[in-house]
Amino acid sequence: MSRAPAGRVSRPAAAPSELGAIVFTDIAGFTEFTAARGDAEALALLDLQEEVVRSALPPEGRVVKELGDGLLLWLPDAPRAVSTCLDLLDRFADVSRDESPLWVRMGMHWGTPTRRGDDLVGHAVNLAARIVELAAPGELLVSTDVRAAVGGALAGLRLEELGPVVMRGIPDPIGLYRVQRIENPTSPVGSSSSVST
Amino acid sequence: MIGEDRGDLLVEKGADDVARTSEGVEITGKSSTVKVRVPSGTDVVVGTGSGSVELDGTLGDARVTTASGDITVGTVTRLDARTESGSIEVEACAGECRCHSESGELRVGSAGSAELVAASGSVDAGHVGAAHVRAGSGSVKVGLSTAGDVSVEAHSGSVNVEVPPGIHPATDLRAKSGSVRCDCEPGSDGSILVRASSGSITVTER
Repeated sequence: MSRAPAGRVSRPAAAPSELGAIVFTDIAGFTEFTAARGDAEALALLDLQEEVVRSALPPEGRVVKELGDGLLLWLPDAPRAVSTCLDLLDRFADVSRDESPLWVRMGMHWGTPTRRGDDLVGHAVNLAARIVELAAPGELLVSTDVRAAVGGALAGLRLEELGPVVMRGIPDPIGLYRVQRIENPTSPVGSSSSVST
Repeated sequence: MIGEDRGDLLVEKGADDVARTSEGVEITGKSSTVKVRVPSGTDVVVGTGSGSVELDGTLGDARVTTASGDITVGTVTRLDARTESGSIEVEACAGECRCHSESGELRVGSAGSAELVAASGSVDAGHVGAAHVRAGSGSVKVGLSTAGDVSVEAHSGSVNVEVPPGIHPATDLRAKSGSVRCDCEPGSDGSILVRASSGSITVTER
């Protein structure tokens, strides 16, 4: 059996990836849920989240990795990434039950991360991770770059601007939008824009 | 930020840059406290990395985000307030009031409707027309101002919903391991749905 020299760790080579949607999912209140309901129910909740995601992810998308109570997803097409995430939020709501309340939130950024083996790393990934931290359960928040990448390609969406947002560790404020399907009757707070064709 | 009876905008202190844009006035402060006076009813968007935000007086639609800081709001038309690690306190919001904190308390004096999420802090909504609340580990108190719809999901912590006298709501109350008590006569004046994992549920007449 060959071994790496002492003090050195073999790492996968880093390489630029292609432009795409970097999506983080996160189960809000998971720590509190685990404390209240125990590990077995918490694990079942994680399994349910992953099952829903894998069943709804389009063929070109992939689950990059699991992160505690969340997932990192990669989707190469912006309009499809947004519609997939909204579909996922609908499915999370559909399967959420008293015994398994799936308070899933999602954050998306459009950029070019760096590949490290099967993993994705870099500023674009960090940004997407910061975005999801501001989302509430059932929400999809996206960056200005997602909005630009979607352009006029998706009908029936309302992108409600939450303003330039200052995020920890990110030098410049990021334009952030809350995405909803237009059939939702709730009127948005503040200015908003609709993307339609 | 102070909304008051005035016709102009006054930057009192702290701004490093003030720029007019197609959407309004953009004020930037790098590290010090920024204090701005604006006409009553002005729509505002405020973001900070690690400082607290105070919106005093009367403002229009307000959107506020902080990474770590408390948010205090006086009177607004509508509100979207988010903080990762701070509390949010709102005096009065005429319309939809959305507040989200990962690790702080939420307190809303009055709101047309409220959508409140606190991962690990308590929630107290005094007089609201309707409410949707999710709380991870704190107690939840919701006071209805009229026959509205309320839904509360709480992982741990007690839930108390107060309804005005004479209101008879439809109720659906389930607690996994706590007690459930409803003092109201059942009816169809709005609805109250509560799910609690380990806390008690009470619905009382104010």
